[in-house]
Amino acid sequence: MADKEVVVETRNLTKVYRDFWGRQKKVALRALNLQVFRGEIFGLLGPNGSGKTTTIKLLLGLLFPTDGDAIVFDQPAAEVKKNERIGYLPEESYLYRFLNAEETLDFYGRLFNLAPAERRSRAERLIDIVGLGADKKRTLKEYSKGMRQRIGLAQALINDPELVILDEPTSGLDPLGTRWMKDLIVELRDKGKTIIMCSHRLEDVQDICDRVAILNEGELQELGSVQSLLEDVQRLELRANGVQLNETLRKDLEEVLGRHGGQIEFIGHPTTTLEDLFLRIVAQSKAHPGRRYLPAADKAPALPAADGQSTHIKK
Amino acid sequence: MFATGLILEREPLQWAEFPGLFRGWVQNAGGVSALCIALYCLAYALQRPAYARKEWTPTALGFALAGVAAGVLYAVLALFYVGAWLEIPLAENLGQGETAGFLATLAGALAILAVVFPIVGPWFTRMRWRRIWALAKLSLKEAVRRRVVLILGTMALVFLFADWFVKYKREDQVRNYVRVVYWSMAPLFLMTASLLGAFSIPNDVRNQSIHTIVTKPVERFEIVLGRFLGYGLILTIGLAVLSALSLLYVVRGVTPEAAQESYKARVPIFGRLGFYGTEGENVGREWDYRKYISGNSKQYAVWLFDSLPSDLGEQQTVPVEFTFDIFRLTKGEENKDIPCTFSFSHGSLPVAVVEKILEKMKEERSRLQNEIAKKENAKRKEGLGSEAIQDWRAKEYEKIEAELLATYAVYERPFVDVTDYHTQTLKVPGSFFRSLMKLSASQEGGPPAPPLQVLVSVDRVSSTAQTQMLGVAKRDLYVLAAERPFWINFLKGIIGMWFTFMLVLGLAVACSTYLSGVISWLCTLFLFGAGLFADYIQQLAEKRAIGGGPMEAAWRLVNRQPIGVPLEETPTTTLFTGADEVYRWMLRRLLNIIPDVSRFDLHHYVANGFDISWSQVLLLDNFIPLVGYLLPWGVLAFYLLKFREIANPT
Repeated sequence: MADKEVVVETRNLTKVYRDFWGRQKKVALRALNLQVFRGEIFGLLGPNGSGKTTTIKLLLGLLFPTDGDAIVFDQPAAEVKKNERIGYLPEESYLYRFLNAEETLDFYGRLFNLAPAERRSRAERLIDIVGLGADKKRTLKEYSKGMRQRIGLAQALINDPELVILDEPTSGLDPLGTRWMKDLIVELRDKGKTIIMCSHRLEDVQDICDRVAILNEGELQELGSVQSLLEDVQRLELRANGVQLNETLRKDLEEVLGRHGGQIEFIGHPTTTLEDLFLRIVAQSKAHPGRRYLPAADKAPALPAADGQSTHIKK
Repeated sequence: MFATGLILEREPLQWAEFPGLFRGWVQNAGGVSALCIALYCLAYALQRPAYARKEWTPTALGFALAGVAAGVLYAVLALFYVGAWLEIPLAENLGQGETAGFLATLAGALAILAVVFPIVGPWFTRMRWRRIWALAKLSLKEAVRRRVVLILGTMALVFLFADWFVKYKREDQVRNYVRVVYWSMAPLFLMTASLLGAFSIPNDVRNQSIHTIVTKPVERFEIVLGRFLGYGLILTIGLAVLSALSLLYVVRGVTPEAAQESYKARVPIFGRLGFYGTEGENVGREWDYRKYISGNSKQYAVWLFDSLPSDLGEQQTVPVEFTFDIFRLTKGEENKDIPCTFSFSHGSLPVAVVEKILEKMKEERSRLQNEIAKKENAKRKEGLGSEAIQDWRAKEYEKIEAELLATYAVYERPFVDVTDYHTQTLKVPGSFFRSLMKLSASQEGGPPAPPLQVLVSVDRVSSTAQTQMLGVAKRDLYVLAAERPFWINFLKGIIGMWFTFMLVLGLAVACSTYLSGVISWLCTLFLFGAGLFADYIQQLAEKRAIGGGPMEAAWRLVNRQPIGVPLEETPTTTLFTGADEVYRWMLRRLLNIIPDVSRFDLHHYVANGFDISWSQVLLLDNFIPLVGYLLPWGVLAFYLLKFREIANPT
């Protein structure tokens, strides 16, 4: 990692929330030390109140550190100039609801001092990317939560940032939207951008993050690449194709493993993830509209009828 | 007959006062800045915030240098004062008068420089009008799409027609309408301005919309400026539309009486009022605006005009308008006018000299008239008809008057019937003003004397006239230099109203950078409300109010002592009056942050048909004080927002 460019660095970063009289209320972050490198997706993980969002707000200058330093692009986090290279998607998309998508992107484009023609072209492109082309004239108050998250992401990308900070980017998105968001984040990384995201959804972080930091009670518990953190060197996984599981195979494998001092914990056919299954079904449904799956009449669950007697769904 | 007059509680500022007022502003704003710097340094020393820069930037260096220099000067000033208090001779001399004033001004200027330094750098290097305009446009859209302005605008429109339900005399039509417009638009727009300004930034903070703004390359002062400009723009547009509608409404059908009285913009030239043979009697009226002269003895009300426009001499006649009050000591004849004499002369002539000249003129006039009488007899003998003789005599009399005027440069109008509180006009020959100009031009050495002096006295022609007193005030008599269109004056009055809205908006936005919406709104209303009573607060602060401060008043209440009786000196009363001194000191400090809102109320000018001067009233008396008041608030807003943790829930 020594040869990689450091984009974000925290040194003993500490944040203590105090009340009006200066009395300590909560230590939100305690001496956090981490580095984020150019071109990686960095995940901040932790339960509620662990300090993820506080870290992000400190990096953005929305909060001031009680102690330590938050450095972004070699500048203190409170420096406004660094924001020219940053895109930020808040946890909830707190945009102005009386604006429509076009006006929203135009407004944020102006804040980056973009020229009118550039603003327009970027806004059009981003609206297409986030899939809101048909709804660009509707005000944001008419948008669903997922749509607001999409336009929120678009505003975060209006300046073509080098560093994108995403606070719970998949919050409020359905599985399709989640997959789309994850694909987009990976695509941004592939274009050389650095992404910092925090999320509760561990599977999202596992899917796309290169490195993660796990926080709890404001303290850093673990930091490293997802691969190295998840690797369990005490166990071995073997995948094979072209064979069916039977008793002979199981015994042979037990014998081989036994010779090397190991034993079988589980042997069986792999399962796909629910997300993959869902996406496949939705894709099939789009390919064959009108087709509907219903369980067989004899296996259908009993539903209470209006008269109180049970009935069955019929094919 | 009509009655109109410009009655002002407070004189508009004069350009001659400007340097002194500016010096006062520098001292006050500098004092507040120095206090803020001291508090900042104290907080910095106690907390040593981690986010503070560790290296010396040019901005930090400028701030530190100016701050330290101001601190040193204030320390020297404090030493002078302490020395003066201890009666050390040198310090006593320096601690008073010009040296102390100069030091206070210099220290104030340096303190202001210190607080402005961190703003000026980013202002020139990072400020982008595109961003400010984006935020202004956002505010504009927000106000429109949330229908705030629409609702208030509709309400204002309804109120504009309130004059349908108010009874008034025909000559009061325009005056009444202007008042209705003012009192309907002003409160509604003030409410809108205060609400929009007070709730915008706190709502953004509460809804966290501001997170998406401050994480862009937006300077904090751009947010303040953008919000102020946006809401300012919407108020301006709303005011312009409603003003245009109301102007159309008033222009639609003005009665002839109202047109004569106030459907115009008189350009008056006011003089200074003094008295001769009296100090101006107090007749016991509660409102002591006017002072009275009587016909009992030789008493004059004397107006001295310090300057006159040079084009007055080019006119055939120059109108001089007056509106006097009559106070009757005896019942006499109801509604009867009282005869008065108006004498016009150059301001360099003492009253006694004018009297002598008038006597001389009288003799000269009578001599010349006798000569004419002789010639008249000769003409009659020649067989000239009586009508022709009359014409000839009138022309000869005119010649005499012109000759006398040219010789003595004094013009007299005796036996002018003055009606109680009615505006009347005297036409003074333009040639008289030409003579005055010549006299002024021929004056050598010394300060220039006022070019015009007007003496007014009550004629002693009947026994009742001597018991009728004539009430006069400074603005009761003026030279009418010109008359301008009403509509321009109406719009000038609206500009004054606009200044008030900008003041309220600026205050509300500045407060909202740190306080919550409701608290900002209440603060704004408190300051504005206090501004309405600024004169009274000043009276209290300067110990001019009868009855002392609250402690003394409480003491008097408990001990049932009337306010006119001096307090007996006991340890308790000393304690109470001492406490009142502290209270007055606090009031004097408070006065510095209370806006003088009454200065922006120009509807008296419009309603009574007096021109609002661009330079003296709108620029000097309104705009410059507004900027002077809002600038420190703007600086405060910058720092409050800069040091605010936007995402901190506390």
